Amino acid sequence: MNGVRLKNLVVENFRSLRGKVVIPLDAQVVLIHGTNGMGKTSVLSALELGLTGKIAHLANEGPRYQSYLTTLDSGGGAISLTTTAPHTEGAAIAGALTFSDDTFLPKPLLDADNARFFAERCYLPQATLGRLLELYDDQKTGTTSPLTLFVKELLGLDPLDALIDGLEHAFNVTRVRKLVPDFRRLEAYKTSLDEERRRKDQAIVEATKAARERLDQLNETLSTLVREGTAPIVTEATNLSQFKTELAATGNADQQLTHLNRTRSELRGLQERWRSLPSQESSRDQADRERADLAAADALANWRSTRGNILEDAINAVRALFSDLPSLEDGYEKARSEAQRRAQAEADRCGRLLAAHVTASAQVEILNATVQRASTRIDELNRDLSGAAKDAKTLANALAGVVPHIDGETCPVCSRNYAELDAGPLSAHVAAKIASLTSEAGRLQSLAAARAEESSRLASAQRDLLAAANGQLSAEDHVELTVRQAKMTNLALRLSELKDAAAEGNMLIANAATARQALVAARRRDELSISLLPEIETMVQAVLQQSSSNFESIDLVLAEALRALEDRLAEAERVASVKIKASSELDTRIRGLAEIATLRSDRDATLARIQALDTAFKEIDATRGNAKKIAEAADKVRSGIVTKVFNTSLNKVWRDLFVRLAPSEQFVPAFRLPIGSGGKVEAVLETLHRSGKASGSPGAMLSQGNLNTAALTLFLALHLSVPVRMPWLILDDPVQSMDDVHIAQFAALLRSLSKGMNRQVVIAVHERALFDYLSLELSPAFPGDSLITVEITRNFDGETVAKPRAFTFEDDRAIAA
Amino acid sequence: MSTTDRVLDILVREGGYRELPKPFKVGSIPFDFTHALVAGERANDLVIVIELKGDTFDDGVIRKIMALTRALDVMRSKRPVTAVLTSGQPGTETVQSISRVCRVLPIGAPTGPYATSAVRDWLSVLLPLTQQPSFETLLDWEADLSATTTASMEGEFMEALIDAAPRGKEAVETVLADTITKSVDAAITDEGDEE
Repeated sequence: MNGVRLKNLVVENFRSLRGKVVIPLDAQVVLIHGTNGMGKTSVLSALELGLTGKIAHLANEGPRYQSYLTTLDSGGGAISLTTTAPHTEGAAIAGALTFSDDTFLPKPLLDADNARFFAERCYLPQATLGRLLELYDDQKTGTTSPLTLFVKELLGLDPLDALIDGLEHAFNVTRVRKLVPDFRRLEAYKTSLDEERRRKDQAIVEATKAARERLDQLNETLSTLVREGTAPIVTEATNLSQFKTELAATGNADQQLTHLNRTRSELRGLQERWRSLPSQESSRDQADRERADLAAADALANWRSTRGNILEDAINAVRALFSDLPSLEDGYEKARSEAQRRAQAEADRCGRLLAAHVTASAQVEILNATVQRASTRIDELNRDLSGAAKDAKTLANALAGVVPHIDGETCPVCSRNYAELDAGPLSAHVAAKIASLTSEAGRLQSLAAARAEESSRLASAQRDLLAAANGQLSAEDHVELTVRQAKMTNLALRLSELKDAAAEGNMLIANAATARQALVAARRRDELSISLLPEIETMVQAVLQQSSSNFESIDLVLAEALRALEDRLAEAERVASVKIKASSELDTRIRGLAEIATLRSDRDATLARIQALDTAFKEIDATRGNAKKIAEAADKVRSGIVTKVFNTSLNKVWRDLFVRLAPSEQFVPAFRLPIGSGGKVEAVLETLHRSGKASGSPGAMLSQGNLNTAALTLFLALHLSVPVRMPWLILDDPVQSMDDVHIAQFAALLRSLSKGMNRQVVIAVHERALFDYLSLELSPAFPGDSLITVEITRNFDGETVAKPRAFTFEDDRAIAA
Repeated sequence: MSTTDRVLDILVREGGYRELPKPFKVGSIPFDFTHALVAGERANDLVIVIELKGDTFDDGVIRKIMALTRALDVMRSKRPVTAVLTSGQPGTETVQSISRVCRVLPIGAPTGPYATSAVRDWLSVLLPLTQQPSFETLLDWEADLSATTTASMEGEFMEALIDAAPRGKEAVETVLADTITKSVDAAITDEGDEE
């Protein structure tokens, strides 16, 4: 492979190369010179076409350039290229292209991959040089920037990238879930199990706590159930069902309670009966009572025989008149006072009747006188009236009626002439008659009034007389009443005097009755207490275990016994209730313990399941861990490789090349490596100060000339860094914007590349002086070294003429070294 | 060590140059420079080292170089000439004049920690390019990877991954997914009865 050279290039009617041009290339260095427009770039393009079948930097814009390849009016052309040997085993040694305005038939020497390699690494067209840095430092395109592509391709990191990218899932649970959908299921299952376990744990804790509290409570309950000095205690180890049976067996509480209740009701009955007995004090002196009874009876008899008799007589005297008097049995005083009241009342009645008789007699006398006088007066008046004109008034009225009929002196009645009488006018006569009549009538009227008055008075007196006569007593009655009044008054007086005696009698009777009653009651109670006491004694003995005689009274004994019994009953009730409570608490505890056991076994089952899952998770974690480690290792290896490659070769080569061309430049361009690991390989361009300190990007730090230098050296560095597939380096006038100093350095660099690195260098320059200078600088320096220079010009026909010259090594004898 | 000595040292030791006698002759004409060297096997460079001292006149230097190159031309020599100016700084015009006839490296007298490196940078154009080791020998990721990983990680999984890596990201993902799925399936199958 090394030492394979481009051999020969034949170009016909290609772009500015009119006619057929043969360019020999079989030398270590080929220098092509042509002034601008002569077609030196076309020569290099033809070279590229022969090798690759396309012009890479134009092909990016599409295949349109293919139709403009033919020299104007030439109708079509061809390119053919040969190499000295196959550049690699089995490769072609010739390439060709025929083209016209509408045909393009490439038959490139290199296959596609090598063609690309050549276009990228071996051929630097003028058009590309200016844009190279820009092209390589286009950070906007991210991981697919040409620089990164170069780096990746160069370093062959794809498997590592695949490892890193492929294992990236392991770093993130979310991505694991995405990668393995079942993992999510596993996690969900685990979460639910964890939750279940947590819940059960909590339930156990709560149940245990509750059980402990209940145990404490139970023991507290039991401690109140003191039995034989020490209360039973339940511990965690106690056999609960046995304990419960034992507890139930100790002391038949129900029976005891029933017995106590019965005793209590009996005792209460006794107490009740005892209390119903009459007071105890009166029973003390039965003899006194007997005596008092006797005395009272005697006093009563004594009284009855003396004053009682008198009183009785008096009362009986009254009773003769009033049979409805209360009897003596109802009380002497009552009978006496009633008798007195009645006697008094009778006396009063008699008095009133007698008084009325006197009054009525006086009245009769007065009235008789009045009657007599009135009768007399009426007789007188009657006589007066009989003498007077009876109808004076009527006549007067009739005359008055005639008056208007009097005309002159003629009488209307008799039609006689009154004047005849010569007694005054008729009318006056009538009027006087009327007046006389009228006055007679007045007198008559007053007489009649007086008679009516007397008549009425007479009638009234006669009526009153009749009434007054009624009030008068008959003589017998008058006597009878007078006698009775005296008698009654006397009786009342006597009874009044007997008031004290009656009271005494009453009192005596009461005393006698009281004494008798006390005596009877005492006798009856004695009989009752004699029957109660043995019962009480038995009961008290049973309850208090001592005789009732030890107490002051039966009441105290009963109270004490009842109290003792109440206490005992309360205690028995309490014990019974405590037992019930304890029993139910025991049941609760038994249930609680069973529940806890169930919970525990449930929890254990869950734990077992969780464990199985945990194992799976551990495995997965281990896998993930391994994956991570491998990914990290791969990353580390990748970083290591990148660092190694960049630091040990690429940056070194670039720097070496750059300082050769610009030894005085303080800033040297370099690839900056990704800092740290984990990131993608993403090389960017920067500059380093000579001191090694990092600085800005090349565009910012370098002059235009040195920027070109940087681009050129970058291309060369990349070229030198890749494995040599074909030892060719084709440069199209790379020195156009270099100053003299750089050109001299560049010449030396080309020499190093061709002679030191065995690259076949094909370079086109447009400047004559540079051409000469390079011819000199690149002239063969050792045996086998060779140089071909080609000058491209045109003849008078406008056809391109290539004038090649070949140089071989000649020993330099100028210096005697 | 003076810059001149450094230049001499680098050229001889790293560039394979050999020193010419003083004075050396081009044809029959002797030339006397501070130092003069010629390249070794595959090059024919002539390097002259001129130390610019206090008593050196730029014109004299220019004249001497012009005379040398003229002599070489006359002798039809094709040796490329490089003039290395050390110690003092030459005037700009001096450098321009000289650069018309040969390559000029006005090194001056770099000081400081990077002095030697600066001198070498200037001279590098005269030194051969170092052939870099082929990347293919640098790149053995499998070996590097096994060197980086610990024994605990090696095994079926690792082998499967390394096997899958060249086939791309998806292949690696598949290996990872399969391994995890195996664990998941084992656990979930266990529970299969209860679910």
